[in-house]
Amino acid sequence: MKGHQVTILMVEDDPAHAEIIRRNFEGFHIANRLTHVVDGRAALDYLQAAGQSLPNLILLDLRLPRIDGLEVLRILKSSQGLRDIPVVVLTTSANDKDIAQAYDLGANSYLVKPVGFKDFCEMMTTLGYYWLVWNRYPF
Amino acid sequence: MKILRQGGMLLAGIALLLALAPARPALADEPVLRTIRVAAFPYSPAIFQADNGEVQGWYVDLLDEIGRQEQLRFEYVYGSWAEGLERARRSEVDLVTSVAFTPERDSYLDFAKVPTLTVWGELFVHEKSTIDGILGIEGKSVAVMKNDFNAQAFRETAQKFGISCTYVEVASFDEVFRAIETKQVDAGGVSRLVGATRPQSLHVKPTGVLFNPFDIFFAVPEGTRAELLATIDRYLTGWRKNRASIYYQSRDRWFRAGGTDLRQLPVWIVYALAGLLATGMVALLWIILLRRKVRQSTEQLQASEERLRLALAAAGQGLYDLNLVTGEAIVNADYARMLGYDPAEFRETSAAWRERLHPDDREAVYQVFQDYVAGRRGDYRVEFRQRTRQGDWKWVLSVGKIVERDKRGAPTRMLGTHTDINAIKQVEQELYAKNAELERFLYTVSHDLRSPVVTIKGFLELLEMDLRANHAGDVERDLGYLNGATDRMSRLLEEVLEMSRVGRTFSKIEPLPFIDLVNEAICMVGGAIAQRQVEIVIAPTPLVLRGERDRLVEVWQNLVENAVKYMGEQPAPRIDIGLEEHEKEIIFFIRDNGIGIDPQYHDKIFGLFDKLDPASDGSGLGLALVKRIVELCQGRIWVESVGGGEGSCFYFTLPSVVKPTRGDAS
Repeated sequence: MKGHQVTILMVEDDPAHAEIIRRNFEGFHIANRLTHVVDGRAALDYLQAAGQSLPNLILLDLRLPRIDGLEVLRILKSSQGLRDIPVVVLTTSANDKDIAQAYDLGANSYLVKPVGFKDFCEMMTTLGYYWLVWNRYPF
Repeated sequence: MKILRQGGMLLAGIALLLALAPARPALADEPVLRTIRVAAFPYSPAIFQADNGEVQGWYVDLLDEIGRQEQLRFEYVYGSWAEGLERARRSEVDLVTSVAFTPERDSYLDFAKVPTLTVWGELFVHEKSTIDGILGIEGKSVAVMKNDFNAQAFRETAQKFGISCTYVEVASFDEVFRAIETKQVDAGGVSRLVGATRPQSLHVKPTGVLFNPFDIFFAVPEGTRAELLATIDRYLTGWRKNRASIYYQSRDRWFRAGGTDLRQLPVWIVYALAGLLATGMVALLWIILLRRKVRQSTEQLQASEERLRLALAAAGQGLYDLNLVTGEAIVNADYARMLGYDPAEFRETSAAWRERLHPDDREAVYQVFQDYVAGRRGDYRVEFRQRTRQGDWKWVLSVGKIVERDKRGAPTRMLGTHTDINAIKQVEQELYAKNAELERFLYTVSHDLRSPVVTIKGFLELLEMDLRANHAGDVERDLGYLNGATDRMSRLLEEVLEMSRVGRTFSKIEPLPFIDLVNEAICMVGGAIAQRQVEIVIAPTPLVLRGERDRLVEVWQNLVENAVKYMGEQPAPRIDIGLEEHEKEIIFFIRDNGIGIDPQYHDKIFGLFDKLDPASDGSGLGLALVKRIVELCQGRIWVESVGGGEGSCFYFTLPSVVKPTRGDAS
């Protein structure tokens, strides 16, 4: 594990899914650095209030109440202070249109939630190593 | 005056003939020569009296030949033409030559069947005369031979041209010439036979004015000498077949003597006549063909127009014929009727058409027209809305074609049809909406139905792990998530099913008093209402709706359920249910004093699977279902709320199941 403190913002409206993701990251010991918000509006509010302590990574669901994921993505990627934060879209939608639109708006990665905890686990582990261990951040 | 031909041998009289008989033994055994009296007249070179008094000429040669072979003797009685005819009438002669057929002559003559010759007359004038055409003899005197067929032909020709002149009748063609030479007359008509062989010394000249050609025959006094005519016919027929016969040899000899070959018309005349004839024939043929073509085209056009009219009428299509220069258009009755106008009074112009065009369609239609005119698109085919006379909008499909352009290529005329596509358009719009909804449905199903599956499968495995690790607290939590996910899934499936049940029409229609409907809906949500202690206020109304009970109850049920759900922290929750009667419609409302809805979400809330509160246990289908039922009743639904805890009010109309109660006894 790298010495620097990586923080993650999870935008997920389904509490069960949030729980699965949270459990998956247990091995990385970042529980106290994983913030969970339940919709797009809450995510934007959180980022606005975060000031200097912005997250290093955002896990973004697409179908969200109030402001949906793609809209959040659009706002993030067009905001001066926020556009550098890597955004990994993590959703149940495997829709081609969603995938294309997400990358269009500047998503850094697009992952479809696997059915089954083991697969989910594998994906999260890989994702964790990549984003939490090896990836270098500009801030 | 009587002249004896063959006088060299026979001189005159039977006695002398008999006296000489021994010198001609060959004849002695022959039957008695029959004598045929022939009317002779000055008609050189066919027949004429030579200076020595002997009658000579082509006819004489022919008759001599016949006489030699048939033992006939021809005796010539010389006189003028008129005298000859007169003698034939009185049977004083047996044969007349050179007779043209006329009904009058037929009354006292029998004609040979084979014509001897085809002849025509020509107009002669004094050599110093200036007359050079038939028009020149207007008002002049013309000498003709009495009873001459040429004279008659000439009179007819003159008459045809509307020329009047004085005719001076003389006894012979020689006298005609003399009259011209002595200037007793201005002109004279002479058989060309005679004219061509006239003595060069005469001070006359031909004018080129020819009369109708006609056939001349041998003729005998009526009822006599039939065998003679038959004989002559036989000989003429035989001779004319043979170029070496006496007929041709003698004719060549006599007629060439005058220096002119009479067998042929002057060459220029032949060419002129042939040219005229050919031109005339071609013109005639052309006219006939043209007229036939015009007739055919007219018939085809009429048939085609009738077909077009029937086809357009059958299809209910409007027809327009637009003058792009003036903007005036000719339209048919269906065109006017389609727009709600009386065809008798309707006058169409492009300005009027533009005026009726829906503002939203203008740009697109003009673009299509411009592209078509400029050749950027192959056809003019465009759909637009036109305001009818009654003020409604009607969808029309216009298909047109530019049929005429001016020299610079600018369009001047356009023909086309209008088709009423209102019904099609309506179905098309419904289909479009349905399709969009279906697409959205499939899209959300891929997410919202997959989501609980992810949860279930995930927590089943977690549960297994927790059981193995004996984490009792975690097991309970896992089961909780599993329960929640399966509940959500089953509710979602139920609502999707419900959604699909709301078809295009109501299955069972019954009268439903407003109060009953609302009470039933409130009963369905009774638990939640009681739990939250919501006050429900219903404005009394005698209104009775007509529709399918379950569907209509669902409208109020969902809206009340919604209102209760989003009461928030409101200490005195209250829901008002009622209706407002307006000029044209009745508007229902359900008002609450809950958390309200931020205006930016007002459209979104009616979409499939859209929900504002992630914590709520709804599927997001409730308001979509309500909207669907409202639209089934041709109504609309909207929400008014400023959000921020100020409450919200849902309004909706149900036109097809409700009629305004105004005027009803209540």
